[in-house]
Amino acid sequence: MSAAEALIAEALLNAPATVRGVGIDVVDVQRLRAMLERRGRPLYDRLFTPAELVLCEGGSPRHRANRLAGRIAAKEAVRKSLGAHGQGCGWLDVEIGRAESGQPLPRVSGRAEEAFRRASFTGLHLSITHEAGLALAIALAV
Amino acid sequence: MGAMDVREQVFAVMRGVGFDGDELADGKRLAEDLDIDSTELVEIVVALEQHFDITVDADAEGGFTTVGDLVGCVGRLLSAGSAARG
Repeated sequence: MSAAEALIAEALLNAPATVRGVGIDVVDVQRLRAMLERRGRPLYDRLFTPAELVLCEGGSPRHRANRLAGRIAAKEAVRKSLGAHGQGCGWLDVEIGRAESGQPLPRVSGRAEEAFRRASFTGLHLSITHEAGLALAIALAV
Repeated sequence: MGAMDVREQVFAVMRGVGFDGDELADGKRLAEDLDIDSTELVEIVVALEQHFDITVDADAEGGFTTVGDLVGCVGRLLSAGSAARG
């Protein structure tokens, strides 16, 4: 078990029993950036809501790519946290907003909202980090 | 466009996105056999849309399990487009 896996395992052991779903995902920032450059607007529109694109505007191309990759990792982490209920959820069914504090704020709609209700979850917690050209997100469902 | 032509063109688009042509066959599973992840699948779908000038419903993405599913979807959309044009 790696140090990161050990930390996650320990965090899960110590977490309140109300944690009912967990999802994690990692995205290679440069790979995503290359995909978006190759396909242009149609790929942006498949992956991101208009509000997410607004949140990712500004800054250097590298920072923008980091923000976009963080959102993709977060969407996938949220989908995974929904477990089997989340199968078939689309990219736009999970939107990653931003709280005033800067904390990522997941919002579910459509099939993701249905999955959230079917699973009887009451909330989602999300964290995103970037390191070594990767964006990583972890989501906890309660 | 015949079914074989559609299949060959779908394979060509997938090769263009970076997937090995030798591994492509209708029965190949996208995730398990070809190691295609969820973002790569979206890029393939957009590449198919751009190549064939079709629109693939975002809801259909979750139903693509094999290469044959992609070929079938493109074939249906092309047929529907031809029928609509008369």
